[in-house]
Amino acid sequence: MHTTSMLYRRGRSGTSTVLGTLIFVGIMFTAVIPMFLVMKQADTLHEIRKHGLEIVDEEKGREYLRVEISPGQGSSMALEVTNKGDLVTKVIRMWINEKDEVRNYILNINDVHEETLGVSEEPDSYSVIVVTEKGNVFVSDSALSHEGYGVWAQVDVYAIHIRIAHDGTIFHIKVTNPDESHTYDEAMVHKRRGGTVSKTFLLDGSGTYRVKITSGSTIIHNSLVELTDVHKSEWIDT
Amino acid sequence: MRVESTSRSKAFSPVISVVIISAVVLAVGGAIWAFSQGAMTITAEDYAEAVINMTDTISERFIIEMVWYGFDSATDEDVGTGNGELKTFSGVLDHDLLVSGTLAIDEAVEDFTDDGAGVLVSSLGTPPLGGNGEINYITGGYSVTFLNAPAGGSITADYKYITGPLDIWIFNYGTVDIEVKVQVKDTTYPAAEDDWFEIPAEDMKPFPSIPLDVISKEELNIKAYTKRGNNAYYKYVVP
Repeated sequence: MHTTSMLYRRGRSGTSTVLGTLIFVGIMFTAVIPMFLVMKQADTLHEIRKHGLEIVDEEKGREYLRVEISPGQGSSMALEVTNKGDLVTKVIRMWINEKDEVRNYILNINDVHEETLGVSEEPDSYSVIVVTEKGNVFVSDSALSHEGYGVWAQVDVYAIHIRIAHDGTIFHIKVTNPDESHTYDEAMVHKRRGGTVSKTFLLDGSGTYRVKITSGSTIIHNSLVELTDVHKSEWIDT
Repeated sequence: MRVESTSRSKAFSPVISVVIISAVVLAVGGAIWAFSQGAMTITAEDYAEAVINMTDTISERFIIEMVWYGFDSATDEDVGTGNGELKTFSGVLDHDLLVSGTLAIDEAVEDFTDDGAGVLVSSLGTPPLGGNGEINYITGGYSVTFLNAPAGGSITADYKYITGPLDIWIFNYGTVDIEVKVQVKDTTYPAAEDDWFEIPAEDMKPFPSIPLDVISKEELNIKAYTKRGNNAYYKYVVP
């Protein structure tokens, strides 16, 4: 008699347990696992995108164009853009003072692009800025002063160009006089890991300048730079 | 006998009990299943959306490409006429907010140029070799004393003066559209909290001109920031 009673109870609890288990397994396979898969896929896409951006940022840091302008024939000036970086670079735009013009040319490494730019007959001073597809902006090493109707006078521009490839991400650059009692200019620059970053300091005139670059409390560069009327700009690579 | 007795004491037969319990398990289980599916779907969608937003945030790439504060030129502005007796001429130029280092006062014998610090330097040399003078770049007020009183003819001034407004161009070289505001001299543009300036991906747009009061050689620290919280900075020295 006891046996019969137990059989009834087993039959009842067995059914609900099986159903419960099936429902649990169903929930796992139709809700929880798909949710984790979607999350995982989103994470994967995020990581892929992040990796792609790191590559783009590194490539941006490797672009380096030298932009030079000089008086041309009459009311025109000659532009020369040289790819001094280690990456093929696409120029998309150029600024002559505050006027932008669309450009679309590719510069292979060490390639030089030359063109003649027309200017107004009226007196004005000019500087040129070249913009690349990757978001870099390169300013002409010097500015030109047009006194009108094809008469040009060079405006002296003294500059120190710095390119940092050193390990680290945040750098403090300071340009001072030799004994560091006066600071002419300073800047914080950010660099992606593995990339490079460029910074140009425009200075008032010839002389000896101290350039000090620090990353945190570590000095990674400290040197004196001499700018003269002959060598108005200097490059520092570190 | 015990079985019968047990059966009699129950409200339903064992089969009906099993059916009822199974139905309850199915109903409750189905409800939990449906709820779980809905909850997990919403959770997954929220998570994916949050990841997409985060990806968009880190994907933003933009720079302040160009900043320009407008200026104009004045040429041959009359500042006096020599009479052979008067050596000092003073007054206020037609335009204020001069660009320092651009003023030239011309006379037949002696010319003056400003040194960028408000001092007029004679072409004949520093006193006593030449005359002297000064210029207030903000008001345009000037005073110039010639070494010898100009004999005749007009004395003229050439200079540049700033007119504004402040123009800013922002280049969004990234692959996502951005919405930006600009901060200059502790003021945010556009001012309205919900008003943002949109720049499509891989496009460069001029930010609406900013009517800003500045003086020559003033250093402006310009910050552009996006709705997603990324920043770009630019240091600009007014002409």
